[in-house]
Amino acid sequence: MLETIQDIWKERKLLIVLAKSDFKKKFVGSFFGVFWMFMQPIVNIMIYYLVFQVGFKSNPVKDMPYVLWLMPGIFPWFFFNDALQNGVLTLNSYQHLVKKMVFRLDILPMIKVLSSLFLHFIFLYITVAVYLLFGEGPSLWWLQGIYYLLCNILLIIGLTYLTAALNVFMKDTSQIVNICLQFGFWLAPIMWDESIMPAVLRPFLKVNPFTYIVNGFRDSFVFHVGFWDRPGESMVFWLVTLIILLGGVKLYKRMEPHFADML
Amino acid sequence: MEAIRVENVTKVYRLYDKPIDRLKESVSLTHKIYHRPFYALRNISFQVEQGETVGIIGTNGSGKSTILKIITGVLKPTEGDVEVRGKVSALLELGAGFDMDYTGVENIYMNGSVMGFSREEMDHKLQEILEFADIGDFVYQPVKTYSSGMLVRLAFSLAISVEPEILIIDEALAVGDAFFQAKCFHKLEEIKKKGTTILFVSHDIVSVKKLCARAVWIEKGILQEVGEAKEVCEKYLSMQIRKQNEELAQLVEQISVENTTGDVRMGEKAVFHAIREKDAIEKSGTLDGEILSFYIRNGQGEEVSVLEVEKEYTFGLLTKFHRDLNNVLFGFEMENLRGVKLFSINNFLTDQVLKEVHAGEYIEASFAIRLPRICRGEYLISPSLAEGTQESHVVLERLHNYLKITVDNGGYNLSIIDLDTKADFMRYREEDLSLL
Repeated sequence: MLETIQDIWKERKLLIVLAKSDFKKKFVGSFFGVFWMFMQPIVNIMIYYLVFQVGFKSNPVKDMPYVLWLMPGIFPWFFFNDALQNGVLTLNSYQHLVKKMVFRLDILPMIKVLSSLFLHFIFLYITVAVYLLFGEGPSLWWLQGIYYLLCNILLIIGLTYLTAALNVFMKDTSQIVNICLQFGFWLAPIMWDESIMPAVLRPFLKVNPFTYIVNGFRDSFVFHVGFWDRPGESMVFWLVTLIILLGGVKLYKRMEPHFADML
Repeated sequence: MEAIRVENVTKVYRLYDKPIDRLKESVSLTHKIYHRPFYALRNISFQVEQGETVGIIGTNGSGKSTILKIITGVLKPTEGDVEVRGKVSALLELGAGFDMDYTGVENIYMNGSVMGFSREEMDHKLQEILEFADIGDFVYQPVKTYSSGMLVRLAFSLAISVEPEILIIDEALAVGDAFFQAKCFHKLEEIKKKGTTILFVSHDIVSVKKLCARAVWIEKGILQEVGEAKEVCEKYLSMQIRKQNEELAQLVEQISVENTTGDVRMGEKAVFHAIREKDAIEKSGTLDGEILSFYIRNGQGEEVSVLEVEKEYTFGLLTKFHRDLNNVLFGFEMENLRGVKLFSINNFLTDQVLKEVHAGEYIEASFAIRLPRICRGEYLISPSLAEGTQESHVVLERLHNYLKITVDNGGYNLSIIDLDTKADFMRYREEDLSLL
């Protein structure tokens, strides 16, 4: 773990260059380029808006537009979803670096995480801009978003290292990850409020680390509640996340000597 | 000073029946073994001095590329140590480290940053790289659209542009066209003069001999020989020839040999055609003996290059010796244009070994042959001169594919050999016949 952190620090410049180019690569060859990057999430939000607010008339928070409630919840998910979908394929997409160049392999998954993070930053700016546009805030509570962003990043890093390493040996991993992401989206209280869940089931919800992140972002932007007000949930989250992070990086390091042989 | 030291390096590949077994073994708490070992390299040790150019030779699958990858650091040795002093730039296989979706120029910058150069530093190198690669506007196209020749051009230009202290080249140059290869070798000579250490892998013996001072010969993962390039290459070549001969010898064993000793008669005044353009021919050998002339004569004693099947011909060599030698072998091989060897003849196979020859002697050896019914077409003949026995000999001189001849065959020419045979017919009545 320590070694990986050192490597990442040593190669930080290279990492930024590679992450930038990874980010660009998603749009290389498409005519509208960056346009698509925004199109997909905006279309998604429009659909959810039409279905949930216009269709089902759901309005989780009184006297606040649905979009303002949705954005802090759904953008972290887009980041999580995007980073994992690409992250699980890290080693396959960087085969040329694994097999033909001398390279600190343990920084590879970070490329995908950073490359997704760039986009996420843009969406966080958009969130802030839309809030200001609707005349909400600015508020000091928004800064708490930085803490939850950090939580999200660490969770993503752990899962990316874990799944990227596994995918080299089991090609099925990427399929499994995709299915889990589909489920994950609806199992975490992103589109619905926790209050509609029967009280018996709620503890199970808390085990999902992403619940903590969604609720956290909403706490910061909508409800103005601090993470220190949720000590139990914070502890569960950090326990689960640290296990995933340490386990993921450890597995990755353990399998690293095999990568060049396997790809 | 040593630039590279390889010490007792062993590389064992673990062969698994299923990819998942690899994962199971790595995380197994009981340390259960799921693999079978495969030794790609066994106990390899050698050193490369700074500024030296060393070739690594060996047949396919002998472990040449594996040792290079270990030196480069892409692979880890299972046992042993590798010490490398200086900045390494490696050209491993095709398109080393290129991202296929990016253009040539983008890849240049990406590779540059992986090797630790800033964008500004690469800006300065860009022009030089593009000039040397000389692939025109293709540098602005994604690398996936490149031909293999263009890939190697770009990869080579990039590899040398970073001014490495140690340059490692694996086989790649063979892909480029003759013009580019010449340019590369010229460049390599230039780099060599600057004091760069070069490690060069190839099965092209000619270029290894040309470029390298020393050579390392690896065979089936085992170090065979380290030493002066010419010497090692010779031994490697004669091993290859020996291997081929061994295969042939098994066929030859069935042929009964009448003659037992070779005796040399004294010749009269004679005229021979000297070997044409000797420098241009690919030749190998220690040159303690030399082939001065090689001829094929028909029954009337005229030199010919168009031969008819089932006619008598004399194949002969005129040779000169520069040293006293024992057990001298004269011979030649004939192969078709696809490289299939049709026959190989020498005075060992005919049991007529010359026990001794002396320095300064001229000896002509000739073989009378009735050309078998082989398919019509063109054939290549490689005369050679050696010392030793069929199983173990040193090549004195071998002129590879020296002579091209045309064979004329009035028959059907459907296969390599036409057999002379007759059919025989019999008719039966049904009651006379029993099929068991």
